[in-house]
Amino acid sequence: METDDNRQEVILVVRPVHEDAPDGVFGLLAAVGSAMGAAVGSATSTAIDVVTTVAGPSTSAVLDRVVPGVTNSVVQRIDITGLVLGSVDLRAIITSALDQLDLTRIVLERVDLRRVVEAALDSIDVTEIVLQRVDLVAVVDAVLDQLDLTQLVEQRVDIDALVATVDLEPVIDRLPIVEIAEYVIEQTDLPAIIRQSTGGVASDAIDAVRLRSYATDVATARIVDRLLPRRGRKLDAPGEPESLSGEES
Amino acid sequence: MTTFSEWQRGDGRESAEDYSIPQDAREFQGERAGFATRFLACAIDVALVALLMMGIWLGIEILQLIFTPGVQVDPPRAATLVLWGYLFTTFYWTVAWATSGRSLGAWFMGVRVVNRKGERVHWPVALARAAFSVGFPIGLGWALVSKRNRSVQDVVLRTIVIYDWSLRAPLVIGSRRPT
Repeated sequence: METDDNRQEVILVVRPVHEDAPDGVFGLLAAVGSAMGAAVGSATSTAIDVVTTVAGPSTSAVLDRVVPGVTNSVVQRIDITGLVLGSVDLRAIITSALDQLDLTRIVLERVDLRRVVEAALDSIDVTEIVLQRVDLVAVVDAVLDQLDLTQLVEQRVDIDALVATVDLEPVIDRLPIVEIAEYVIEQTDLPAIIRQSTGGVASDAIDAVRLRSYATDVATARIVDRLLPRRGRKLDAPGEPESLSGEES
Repeated sequence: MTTFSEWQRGDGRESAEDYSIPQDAREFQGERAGFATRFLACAIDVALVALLMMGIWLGIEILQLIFTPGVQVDPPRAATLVLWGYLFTTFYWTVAWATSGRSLGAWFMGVRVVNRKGERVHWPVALARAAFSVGFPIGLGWALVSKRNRSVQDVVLRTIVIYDWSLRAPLVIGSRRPT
């Protein structure tokens, strides 16, 4: 294009800016801003096309050179972020985006969960947290309530093998063997059995005479006590206080 | 049946010394013996001594019969035998009461002489009681009316006659009874 000497030709070239889009919501907002910039550019391009159609190619060439510069200046002068924050329902956009995304699948596919968990476990003292935050007694109680320990032991523990390892001598040392023997002798009335098996007619006769004599004593004393104005007799064993007092009443 | 735990606590527990005694008689062991039993015990002793004296007399008579005319021993008169009987009975009861606490008659009837603490009587007391009993046998009759089954000898010498069927030596009876 030929121009006057005092005139200079300025050609504005619009180039797409390729930057690494930030992640997360800010990335989304940047994408929204980029989309709006693209929309403005697209509208401008449409307007140029209209002008080219109406005014002819020369005018279109002018517009080709002017409009991108104007557009760039406009984009630079507009606070697109503020515009988006003020005019766009970001909550609806994010909700809609989240509805369309399967975050679980994305996390499972994209996140190294093992590393995350290991890093988390390395950074915290799980034992300390459990001790501080967990009611261990309640937990153990709940577990024990749900378990039948007796049945569990019966099924899982070889009691015979366990007992076989027990040193019984200290246990026997603690047992009152003599008392147990006396108890058995008394409960089975072993002396009576021995008497019945070894005692002769003589011992039975002596026992019978003694018992009959005792009965006579009791009967005699009762008759005498009835004749005398008093209540029974004091037949306490010697060694007891009444015997030691030596009174005769 | 009494469990071992109950038995250990003393419920239904009997003294070990009572094992040799029939169940029916365990309850009154250690009680003061009544007149009838004591009288029978004395009667048995007296009868034994009388038999002994008669045996001595009979022995002398037999010896004289066998060895006559070689041996000339006059058999003792009845009064002499009675006197010997008294003396022997005194000696016999002294030894019996001071050692085991009972004579043969007392053993047969299941009674024992002890002092007021339930222990074996000492020799002087045993001798005094034996002499008293031999010299004043009617003193036993006081056991009929005594509230504690005491004879005159028991009152004077503070001795006690108890039912004791066991064969052991006399101990403190009161401490071994079931509590």
